[in-house]
Amino acid sequence: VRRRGERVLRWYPRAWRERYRDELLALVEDYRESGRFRFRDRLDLVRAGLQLHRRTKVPSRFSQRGRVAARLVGCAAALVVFGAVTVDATAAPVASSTTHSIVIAGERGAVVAGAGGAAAYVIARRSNNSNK
Amino acid sequence: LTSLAEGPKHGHRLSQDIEEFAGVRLGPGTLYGALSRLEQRGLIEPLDSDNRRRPYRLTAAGLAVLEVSLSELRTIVEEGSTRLRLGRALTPDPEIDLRGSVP
Repeated sequence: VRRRGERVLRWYPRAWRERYRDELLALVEDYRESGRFRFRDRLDLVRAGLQLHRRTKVPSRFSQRGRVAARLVGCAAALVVFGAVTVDATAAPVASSTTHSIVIAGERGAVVAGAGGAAAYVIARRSNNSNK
Repeated sequence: LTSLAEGPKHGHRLSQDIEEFAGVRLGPGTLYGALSRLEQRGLIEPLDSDNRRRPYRLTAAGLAVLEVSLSELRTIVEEGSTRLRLGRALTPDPEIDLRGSVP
């Protein structure tokens, strides 16, 4: 039972989990022992964990724009890697026209997303600096 | 906060109490999410405990917030009751005049 409870706690932010883990597990045990634990309580545990992630405060040095820019940069990096991998995989002279199109689209996507991410990052940095 | 107004309680006792007086059954995640928020805002505080069932109690700030909230609710209840009485006085036959209205 405890192991199952521990698994559910993986949905919670780490800091929160470290502070409330034992208490929440004890509460779940109490619910089970009194016959009050239902399937919807399992869902409730997951929902509450996800909600706490949304409410967790991010350190003030990261602005909203900074976080958006960081996500864009992350997406761009993933696309660049995807583009590089597909180029590498189709380096052999057997690439069909479909594969070739996918590779070209991947490369273009990576370039556009990379440029967009970099621009967003620069804008966010400038915005942060001007706010200081 | 209302549940803790009569004294400290741990999670399960809080859950049972809230279900008894408010008719609302809180899941364990919802309850502990609320407890952690209230603690973060300084409205409740944990007490020392030998076991994992840690009791919580209201702080002075929590007591003040509860008093203000209850006062606001009381105003709404009183105003609502007054208007309901007036409305009933103006509609002598509610069975006819209020038919089909939203309660």
